[in-house]
This record gives sequence, structure tokens and C-alpha cells, in this order.
Amino acid sequence: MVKVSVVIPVYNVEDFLGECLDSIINQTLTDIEIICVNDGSADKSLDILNEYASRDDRITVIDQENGGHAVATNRGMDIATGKYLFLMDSDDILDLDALKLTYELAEKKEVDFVIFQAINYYMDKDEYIEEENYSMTKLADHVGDSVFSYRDVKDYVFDISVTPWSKLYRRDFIEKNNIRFPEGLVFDDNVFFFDVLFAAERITFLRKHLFKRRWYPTSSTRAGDERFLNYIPISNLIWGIFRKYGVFEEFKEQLYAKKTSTIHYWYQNIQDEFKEMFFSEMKSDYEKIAEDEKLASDLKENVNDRNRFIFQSALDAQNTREFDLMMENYDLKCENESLKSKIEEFSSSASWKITKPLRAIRK
Amino acid sequence: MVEVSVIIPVYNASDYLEESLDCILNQTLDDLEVLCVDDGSADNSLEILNEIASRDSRVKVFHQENRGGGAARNVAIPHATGNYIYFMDADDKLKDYALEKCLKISKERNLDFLLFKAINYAEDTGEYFETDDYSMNEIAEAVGDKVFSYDDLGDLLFKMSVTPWCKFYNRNFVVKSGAKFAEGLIFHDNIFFYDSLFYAERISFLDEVLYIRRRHSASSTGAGDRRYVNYITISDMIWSIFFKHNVFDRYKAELATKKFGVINYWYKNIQEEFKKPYFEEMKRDFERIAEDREFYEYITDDLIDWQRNILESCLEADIPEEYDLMMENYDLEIENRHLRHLLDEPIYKIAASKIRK
Repeated sequence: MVKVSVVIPVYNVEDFLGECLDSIINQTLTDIEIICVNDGSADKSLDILNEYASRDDRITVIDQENGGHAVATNRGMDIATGKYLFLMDSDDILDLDALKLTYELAEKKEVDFVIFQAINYYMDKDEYIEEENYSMTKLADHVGDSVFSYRDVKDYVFDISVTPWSKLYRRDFIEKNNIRFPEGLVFDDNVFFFDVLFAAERITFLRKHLFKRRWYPTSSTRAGDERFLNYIPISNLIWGIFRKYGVFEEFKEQLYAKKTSTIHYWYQNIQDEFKEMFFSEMKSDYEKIAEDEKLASDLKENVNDRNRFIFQSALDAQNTREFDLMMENYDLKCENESLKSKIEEFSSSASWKITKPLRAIRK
Repeated sequence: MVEVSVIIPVYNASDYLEESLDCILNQTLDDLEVLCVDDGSADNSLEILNEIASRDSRVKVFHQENRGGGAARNVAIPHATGNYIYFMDADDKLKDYALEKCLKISKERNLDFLLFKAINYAEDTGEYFETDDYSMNEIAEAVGDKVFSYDDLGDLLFKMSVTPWCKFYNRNFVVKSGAKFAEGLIFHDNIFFYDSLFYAERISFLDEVLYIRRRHSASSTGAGDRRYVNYITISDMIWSIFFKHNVFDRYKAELATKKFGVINYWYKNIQEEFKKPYFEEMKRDFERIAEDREFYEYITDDLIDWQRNILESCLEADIPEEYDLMMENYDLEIENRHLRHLLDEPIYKIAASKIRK
């Protein structure tokens, strides 16, 4: 059994695939297998994979019809045989020591998975920029070198990056718990992550930036197309995971916020042509919640005022434009109140009274 | 041939009918005829009319099935034989010397019509109170005793009350103008007024209150009922009249207010249950304007912001709820902008910095 199985789903990344593969085949940890799943690429990705495979027999290439990131990754996971699992993104770059360092740490601490840090790589400016979401310094400060489970990091559960590639997993832990990615949906890593997090008894954090996340002009989460709609079913799958592990009640505030403000966030960022469809699905989703009176009122009691308004308005509005107008109305009213109270605050302040004669002259 | 024909449309007016007829029959001028048109009253107005007619041969009674006040007046006009016509409302009052005085001035100055003031009477409190629309003080100031036409008034034209009962008309003038009241619609007096106005070459203003308008409660303009949707049609008819007389462009700004401002006003003041049909009618009306690209640009070219907002919001909104929110948001944006400017004033900035310390 090899030490680490690296699974790489590949889709139309001819520009960056070479650099990605180089970072894997040149890992200082050499006892690895590299499973590349070509997800029906239309460009030269498959040719590149085959070329690399011809030079390195640790590489297996699987070719399939396009099914999406989840289908490709799951397929790779299905045939993996290594003790540990690393899920790579085909347009990014792994530090050459990454697998060695995480493998050794995982063995030493006998953990279900290791979390490590990533950094953003902005291609056009050739700049590396840290970001808290990938550096997770608050979590790092809290856990230090210890072995922990979710119970020890309850306040940080939503601060941990959900990306699959910032972790090294013990494969039998994954298999024992039957954890896979939900298929046909973007945002699928959210579901995988929480499933892994709550199933794990032993986790540790490696405070090193070992992964470079590449940013270039046409990254997929900026598409704003109908796939943003996936967030609605994903939010339900996430709720499902929390319920499965009996931790829904404990984290319900954040889960309700995900259902309201996060869905609304994706709704606002979707292209105009898909708005009506998104609104309609959002409304149906909320209507299902509203059917359960206890759940609906629990949600309304445990979210902030704006999120409560999002929930109620989506139920009340007849169409997407009415909904948008309601939200605009809410925000304008909030601004209005805040401006008025600032003016009142200043009007009643001491310096306002002192300047009163000056103001009279000015008039 | 009498001097004055008084025309009174009557509909379910039994409460005040005798009192108002008394005002007419006891005028200091007795050379008149009174044409009363019962517009299909459900109460005993017709009986009251017939009874009074049997006592005073100056009263003639006409009867029709309910077709509205506009139709009632139109029906009476061709039957009038007097040199002058006065339109009376069946629940109001006229000062007893009114017709004599109006006749005298109209003859002296050879008028097409004479305009005079009215006052309001609150039924429940017994109070008399003035309102701008019936006092027309700006017009009084502008014209004094002069004989004028619409041309001399400029925009003051729109300060003239459109109601028929604050005017004293020369009958030949009315007939020649061909002006008629709109039928089957409320606000029908607008049509008769504007249509006749542009034919009138000799108008005068009598700066005296001759008419008492009864208000059944101090705030009688409650929310409008389903008939208020008529305003939309009326506004089209008003625009047509101004086009017919080639004066639309001259009064474009006011006419825009009459359409967008007033239509929106009645929308906001209509009873909840009629909001949706009103909105739909409003939208259809505005869409007709928008259909003709050139005409739409002509209208919107110099349209003031808040009216442009009404037009554009109505065209964009599919349902009244959307329209309501658009209107509210527009107002909030303006208010917020104003408040932000205030906070930018140096005085506020000083106060702000002191507080932060």
C-alpha cells in the first residue's frame, strides 16, 4: 500500500496542468500513487495526462464523460489504495514537501486528517497574498500542536476552510464513514468538509502554507451563472450533515444564517437571466421550511433582523423584482434610521450646543 | 324667453333638495326657469321635484335612468331657453342675490362666462372654511375687474376651479362651443370646463363668495372608491382637449402634473380593494404613451424627476406591490441623500470629531 493516493479531477486545464503535475511528481515523498480523472475535457488536458503517465508509472489516467468535480473525485477515491488521501486541484500547485510533512505528522499524531494552510497566487501580478480563510490563524492559535475534534473548536467550525485540498485524510477513516462528494452540484466541498469534520475523532493542524491557490481571470466561482442556484440544495445537504451528527441544534444560528444571508448573497451575484429561477427555488425552499411551524419560528428567532427579513420577504414576494424592491426598501430604511440617529447624536452633543450661535450667524 | 336657466342634476338628494331649490326659487331675480333632471334616484327626490313643480311653474322636471351627473346636465342644456345658464348642485346653497348680480355684470361686460368664489360649509361642525381651489385668490389678484381670456392667465389657468357651479354662462356661448360634460365618469366637469374655456374670449372674475359648498364631514375626501379610476380616462380626455386647441405644448408641464401627479395621487388615495384594478388601468394608460416612441420622448424630455419616476416605475412594475415599493424607495433615497449632505456640513463634522474623541 502506497503512503498517499493523490486524486486529481481534470477538466479543461491545459494551461496549468503541467505545473500542477510537476508539483506532484516531484514531491519529496515518493511512495505515492497519482490518480488523474479526466472529466471529459475538450482541450489538450487528456494528452498532457497521457504524456506524463508515459513517463511516470505512479500515474493512472482515467478518462470519462463530463460529470463534474464531484463525480470525477469520487471515482478517483473509489480506486485509491494508499493509506492517506490527498485531493488535488488541477490548476493549483502543491509545495514539494507538502505530502512528506503532512504524512509524517499524521502518522506521528495518529489523526483522521491533517489541516494545513494555503496561500493565494495572483497570476497576472505574480503576487502571493495571504488570506485568513486559508491561513486560519485563529484556529491555529487556539489548537496549537494539539490533537482535537470538532468539540474542541466549536467557535471555529465555520472559520475552517472547506476546501478539500488543504487537508490530508486517512483513507480508511473516509471509507469507514462512507464519505463522498454530492454529485452534480457546485459548492460540493462544503458538504464533504462538514461530513469529515464531525466524523473525525482526531484532527491536527500544520501551521505551514503548503498549497498555492491560483487566481486567474476566469475562475469558476466568479461565473455568476445558474450553478449558483446549487447553493440552495447544498444548504439543505449541509443541514442534513449537521442533523446526521446531532449537532444541528448547537450550530443552528450559523446554519440559519447560511440559509438566509448566504443564499441571498449568491442570489445577488447571479446573472440577471437566472434571477427569476433562483428566486423561485429560494421561495420553494423557504416554503418547505415554513410548513414546519416550529422550525420556521425557531429560524426567525435565531437570526438577525435582516436575515429574518430575507426569509419573510422571499415568502411574501410574488416575484423576483418585488423581492429585490423589498430588500432595497429594508436597506434604505436602515440607512435612513442610522443617518437620523447620527444627526440626533450630534445635535444633542455639547459641541453642537456650543456652536449654536455660530450656526445662527451662518443662517 | 327667460333670463336665466338653472340646471340641476338630482341624484338621491332628498336630504337637502328642498333647501337648495329654495335658494333658487327665492332668488332676487325671479325671471328664471329651473330644469331639474332626476338621474334615476332611488329615494323620493323625484316626488319632491314633482311636488315643487306643481307649486311653481318655473320648475321643469326631467327624469332618466341613472347615467350620472354629466349625462344629466348634457340632457338639460338643449332644453334651456334662457339667455344665461347656471349649473347648480342639488345639495348646496346659493346666496339669494347671486343670479341677479351675475346677470348684471355679465350683461354689462358682455361676457362668455363669469367666475365667482365659493366657500365650504362643514355639516358636522357648522363651520364655514375657505379652500384655495374655490377662493382662487391668485386669479382675483391677477385679473381684478378686467375682461380676460385664457391667454392672459398663463399658468394661472390651472388655478381656475373646474366646477360648473362657480360660473355663470352665456347660453349662446355654451351652445356654440359645443362643450359637453363627460358621461358615465366622475370628474366630468373637467371636460366641460376645459373644452369651453378655449372658446371663451370674454371672461371676468367676481371677487365675492356666492356659493356654499356643503361638506358632509370636515374631512370629506376619504379614500376613493372604484369610480376614482375614471380619473385616468379623464386625464386622457383633458390632454385631447389641449391638443385639439393647439395649446398642449404651452401647458405641457402642468398637463404632465395633471396626468402623472394626479393619477398617482388618486392611486395612493383609493381604497385598498380597488388598488389593483386602478394600477392596471394606470399601467395601460402609460403604456399607450410609451408605445409611440416619438411622443414618449416628447413627453419625458423635460419631465420633472418625481413625475418621471412615477411614469417609469409604473411601466416597469408588473404588480402594484412593486410599484409601491419603487415609489417608497425613491423617496427614501432622496431623504437619505439629503441627510448625508447634512452630515457633510462642517458643523456636523466638528461635532462628529468631538464625539469620537
